Amino acid sequence: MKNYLYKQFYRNKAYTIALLFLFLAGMMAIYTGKKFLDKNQEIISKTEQYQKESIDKNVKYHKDDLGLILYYIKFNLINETPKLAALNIGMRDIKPSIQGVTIRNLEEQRYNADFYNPANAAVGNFDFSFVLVFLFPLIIVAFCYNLISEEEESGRWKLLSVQSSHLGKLVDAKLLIRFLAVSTIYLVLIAIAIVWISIPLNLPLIVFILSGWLYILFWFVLCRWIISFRRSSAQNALILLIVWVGMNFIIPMGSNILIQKYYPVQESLKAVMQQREGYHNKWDEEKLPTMEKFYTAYPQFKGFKVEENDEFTWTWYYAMQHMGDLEASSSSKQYTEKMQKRNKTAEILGYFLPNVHTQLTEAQLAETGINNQLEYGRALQKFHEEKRLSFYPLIFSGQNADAVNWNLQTTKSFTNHLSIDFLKIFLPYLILIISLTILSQFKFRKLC
Amino acid sequence: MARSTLQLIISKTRQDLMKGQQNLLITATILLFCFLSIGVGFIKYNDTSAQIGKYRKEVREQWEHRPAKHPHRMAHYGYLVFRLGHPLSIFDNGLDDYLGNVIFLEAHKQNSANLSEAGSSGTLVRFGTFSSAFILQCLVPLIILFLGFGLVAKEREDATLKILSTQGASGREIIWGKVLGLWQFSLLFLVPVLPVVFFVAVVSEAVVWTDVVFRLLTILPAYMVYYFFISSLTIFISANSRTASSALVGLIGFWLVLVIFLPKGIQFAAQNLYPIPSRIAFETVLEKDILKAGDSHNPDDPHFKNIKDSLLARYKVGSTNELPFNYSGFVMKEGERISSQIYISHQKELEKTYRDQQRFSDISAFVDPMVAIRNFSMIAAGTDYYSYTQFQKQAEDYRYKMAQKLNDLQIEKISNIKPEKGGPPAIIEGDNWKKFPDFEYRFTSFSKSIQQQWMPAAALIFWLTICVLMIEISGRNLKLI
Repeated sequence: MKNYLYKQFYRNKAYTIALLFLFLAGMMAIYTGKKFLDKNQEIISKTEQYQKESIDKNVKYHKDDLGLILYYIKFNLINETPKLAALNIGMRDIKPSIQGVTIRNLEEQRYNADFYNPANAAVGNFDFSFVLVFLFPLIIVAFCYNLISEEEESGRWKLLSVQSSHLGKLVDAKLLIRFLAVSTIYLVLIAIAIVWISIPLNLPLIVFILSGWLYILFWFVLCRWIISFRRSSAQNALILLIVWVGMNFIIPMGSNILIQKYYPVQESLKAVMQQREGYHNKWDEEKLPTMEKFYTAYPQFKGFKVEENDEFTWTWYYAMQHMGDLEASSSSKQYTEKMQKRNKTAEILGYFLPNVHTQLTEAQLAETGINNQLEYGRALQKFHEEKRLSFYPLIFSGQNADAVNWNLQTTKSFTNHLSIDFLKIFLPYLILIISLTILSQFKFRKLC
Repeated sequence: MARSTLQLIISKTRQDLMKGQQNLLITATILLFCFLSIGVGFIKYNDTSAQIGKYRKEVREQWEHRPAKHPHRMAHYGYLVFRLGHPLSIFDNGLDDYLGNVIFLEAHKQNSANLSEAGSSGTLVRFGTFSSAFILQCLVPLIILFLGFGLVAKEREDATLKILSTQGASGREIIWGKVLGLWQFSLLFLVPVLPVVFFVAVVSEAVVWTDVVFRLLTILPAYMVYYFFISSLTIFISANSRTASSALVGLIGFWLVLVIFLPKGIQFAAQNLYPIPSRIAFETVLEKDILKAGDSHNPDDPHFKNIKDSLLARYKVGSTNELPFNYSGFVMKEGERISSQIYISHQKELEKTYRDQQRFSDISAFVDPMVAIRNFSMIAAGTDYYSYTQFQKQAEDYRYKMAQKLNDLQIEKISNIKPEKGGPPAIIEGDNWKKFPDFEYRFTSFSKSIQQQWMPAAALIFWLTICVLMIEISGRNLKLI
């Protein structure tokens, strides 16, 4: 019997074509990811070279003025991109994976994004997660929407019900065949990606594969439930399509516009303005209050005195620069908090919508989501501070370029410490899958 | 006689669609979603414009209330300019979420716009923005094909097509009638939305109402053509399918390809055909070129040494301190001129890459009508990339004028001799700042935008002819049984 159903499925050309389509779309997505990784890698390796050139040039020109050298030189911090990011590009296309900062105030520099064409960004990446989240369900729906209704509409159902007492089992066998076919395509694609991109076989990858696979399972169980109502084929198709459109477009889009409305991030604008006031005003003000604030922040530099009547000194200059960051710090913090809140709301939405959940989970695993951006932002701040604090004493004491070992000033990397919360990742899938299975089981018992 | 048969079929098709309670429910839901998105969009637009208005005022006040200062310090204090979206962005958000809306302007440094909405949002923003334009471009076609997939195929299955024919309706009349009937019904999704958009856009008071009317009067026919295409395609597939269900599957396939697959594929291809340099590569090359042309910060730079020597010779003095004007202001002005020129030429190259990408997308509108309507709608709503580049241009123009004006002030009013320690500082009165006018962002005019980007409009007309072709072919070859 199973053998027969198996043959029946693969003899249908439309199914084979659909599977092929899925496979090709997946390959295209993997190619997109590969391209993205290559470009990213190229930018990073070039940046290392640019940084070295820039150091050489500035050291040559301003040999005696360390303050001036460090005014110009940018130090780059790489946000390490795991290979898995090829499968979920997430926000990495509009947020740079490498950022350079001078030791001047950070707020002015930290929002500089890389170049990207907004038209491309708006359409979004054709990455593997997109194929999984958007296209896989469509094929699943096309495979399953008429499993029962077709038999009924062709008049075979009655015949079958006379011959068999386990019609539910028959439908389940058909579902299983389809599930195996789709799973095979999914796993083959993943296998190709692993080999092609040489993704390391680690825990994030396994969780990534599992979450995608559970997402596929969710759609099968959902179809099982919808078809168990024994509506007509057209109605089933319509309902499943409405679910797909609602889940993939209307609800996330609607939620996003509400999130943007309820958590407006004007703080970033405010931070930009405050840092400007914080720094530039200090030129016109008394020097000593600026210095006082600076010494409070960094008591270790109390020894470098600045007198009110002094002419320009780097000590005063960098103290002024730091005032920009100090005055913008609360707005900057609020901005980060708002972003966190936005993300939190999206996560909660994900508990109810497996597609959003899959996107967010996979973005988190691939370190391309907002959490990674926030972590990287914090790391950049720390990096910036460490650089400043190591250079300040040298500049303030009037040393020249020889005081710094420039060979050590290479680009640095930040590695995100990924914490995987299995319960948070898998529970939403399992709850939905189990409850849909139970619901459809009730209906399936009454099938014949 | 022929005319009235056609009219009969049209009105019958339309009325049948309207009679279905389910259909009216769907229409009402879609319209509700549209109004909802307009409402939320309006509130958001107003909030943003109030915020920007506030910050703009603050920037201006801070600028005017700067005390007496050295002009070059003022040039680095700089200016912040803001961009406010066109009010029609409440209808079609276009690229607004991905465009930055503030630029910090200062001397000899071109900062780019940053702080876009997408940059502060999570992954959710990638699902798209919920706007009327999205609903009208992506969802309504899906509904049209659901309403129309059986219009011919089902009738053939039920053998009513044959009856229709024996009563004297030709194949062409049947197909034209079905298409026009479906199309007229589809306008129910569109026509009520635009007056609301008009009303809300006018209330926002950001532009004059004639501008809104003008833009909406092009949006309406564009969407009408788009729906005409969708209706024609639906009937075409329905007429050429053996069963209604295969027509449905085929149409959903078309929808997927036209609305989801191709638009992404096209952008992907454009990105790879015309790759954009990274910011860091761009800035490095820029810096190198500026240094080559003349580095005003380098005392031994040949270009500036040359200027110095010729100035000393012309004024017959021994050192720059004896010149009758501020020498370092003069150097600064020359440096600004050089760096701006080089920057603009590099920026132009970058812009060209973006334009190539855009052109690729515009041309592909001849392959995918969804791309045609998407691009056209954005242009008409003023949320396209071209309009945004106009903001960048205006800002850069303003920046250059500001920097040079301040350099002029330095040349004229600042003494050539450095102030002694403890002596009076080299500054000029704060009144000077007030004389410099505020930045006024001007929306790009629609006629200019459309002149630059006529291709999507042409593509729509092209699709109109394709529609006629599709209808004629299926009308002539209509199989009745």
